[in-house]
Amino acid sequence: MNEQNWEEQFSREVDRMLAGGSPSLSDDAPAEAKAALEMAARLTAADLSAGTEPLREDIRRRIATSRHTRKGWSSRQGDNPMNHQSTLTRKLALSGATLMLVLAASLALPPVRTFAEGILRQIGGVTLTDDPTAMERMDGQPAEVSDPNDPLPTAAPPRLLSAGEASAIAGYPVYAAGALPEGYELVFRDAAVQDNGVTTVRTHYYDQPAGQFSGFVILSQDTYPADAEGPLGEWAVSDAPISDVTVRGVPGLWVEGAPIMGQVDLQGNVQTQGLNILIWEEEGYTFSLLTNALSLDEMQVIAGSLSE
Amino acid sequence: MDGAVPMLNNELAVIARAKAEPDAFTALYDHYFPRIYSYVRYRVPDAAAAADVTSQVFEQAYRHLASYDPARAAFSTWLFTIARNALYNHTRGQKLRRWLSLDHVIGKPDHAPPPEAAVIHQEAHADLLEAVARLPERERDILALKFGAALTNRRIADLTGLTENNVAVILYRAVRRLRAELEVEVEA
Repeated sequence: MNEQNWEEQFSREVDRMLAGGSPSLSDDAPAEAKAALEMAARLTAADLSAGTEPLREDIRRRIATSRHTRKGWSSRQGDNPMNHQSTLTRKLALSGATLMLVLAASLALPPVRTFAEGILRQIGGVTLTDDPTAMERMDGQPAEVSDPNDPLPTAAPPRLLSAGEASAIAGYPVYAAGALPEGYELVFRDAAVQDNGVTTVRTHYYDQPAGQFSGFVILSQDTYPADAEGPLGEWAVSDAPISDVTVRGVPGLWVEGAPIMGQVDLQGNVQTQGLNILIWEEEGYTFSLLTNALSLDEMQVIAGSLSE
Repeated sequence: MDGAVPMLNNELAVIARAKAEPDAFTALYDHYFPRIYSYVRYRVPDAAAAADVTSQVFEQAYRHLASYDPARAAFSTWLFTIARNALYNHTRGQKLRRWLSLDHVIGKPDHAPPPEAAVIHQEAHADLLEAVARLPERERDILALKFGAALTNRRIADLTGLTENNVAVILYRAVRRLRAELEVEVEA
């Protein structure tokens, strides 16, 4: 039995234990699998809710005396945690899901402009403009305060597709990083074909010290339809400096400190955060690497390691 | 079967009654409290914070029960989605406070463990929870959904957007890594 079979067998044995049964690994199971099952048995036996009767009663009382009106079915139909859109406050948090929302806002189609007005640089399908970013417009302003009766936030996290699954959706081979700074791991990979014909593949790598990430690198590998009318990948970067660089032997751009991410501070006000972006075009794809923590040299190493 | 642990008997009928009669929510609450609390406890090392998050989960479930549609998802999926959202907000709050303490430092931030990962004394399973807290976030989540929430790999896949195969792989890896973490502690 290969490792994948042991992994599936392990899950079945765990489910058996959780349902009150006994595990039954064969004698020829590898020692590692048997040891894992022993650990699983310990986890199954650990009743973390034991001794929580006071808490249980406290919550019961809170629910019973809750002042919030229980919404009627007809007035709240569709108000469902499974499909609710994040509030603006939550869009500003540092996370994979909300990061994608922030980037989406920055990548929104521009208002009609005079040709070349405000356009800084173009590379691949991306047009960089000096428009103020959405985060800059909100900088220092109070973030929206959630209505306590608001539906639940469900910014669905990006998926972790395999390279093959992402490739099947995008219709082209997917690149991945072969070198990452210490501590960085693949966390998400998602792909989509948008209504305007732009195809995107996003791969997220996070630095996860003590189980909570602090640094990230997001690789985008996008294609833009050749017959598009007007720019589709327009990124407002305000007055962030842009430099010409060479990436993997082709011309690229390095944008430093683009104010396209925001966080809510403890006073409830928006704080803008700058991100670094490396962009280039290769093999018909527009690649970008976006980070909150890495330098150009470090990003060049990652870019150089990309392969299918 | 909804998970490795059975659903509440006549669960749909209980839910329908709870929508109309608030007192009937108690049956759902009593049935799911252990699993919700255990799931949250695996994810949040601090007991007081875990209690807060658990409370938020059931208060939200109670307020929004009318919006639950059994045709869209199992009740456990709906409830654990609420739990995951509550954890997401809790974790985001912790991260915001950590970022603000850096005083606008640009570059790799401090990698010291957050205060809530400190040793928990005089509590059952303290060593286990400490070791779980050191796992990468995704492995911790899958572990919590399996052993805390007692969900099948299919349900976990529904909640996380992973495939069932991914879940099995991550679960196996998480348990092996947890065992290694506990062995290191024992040797130390």
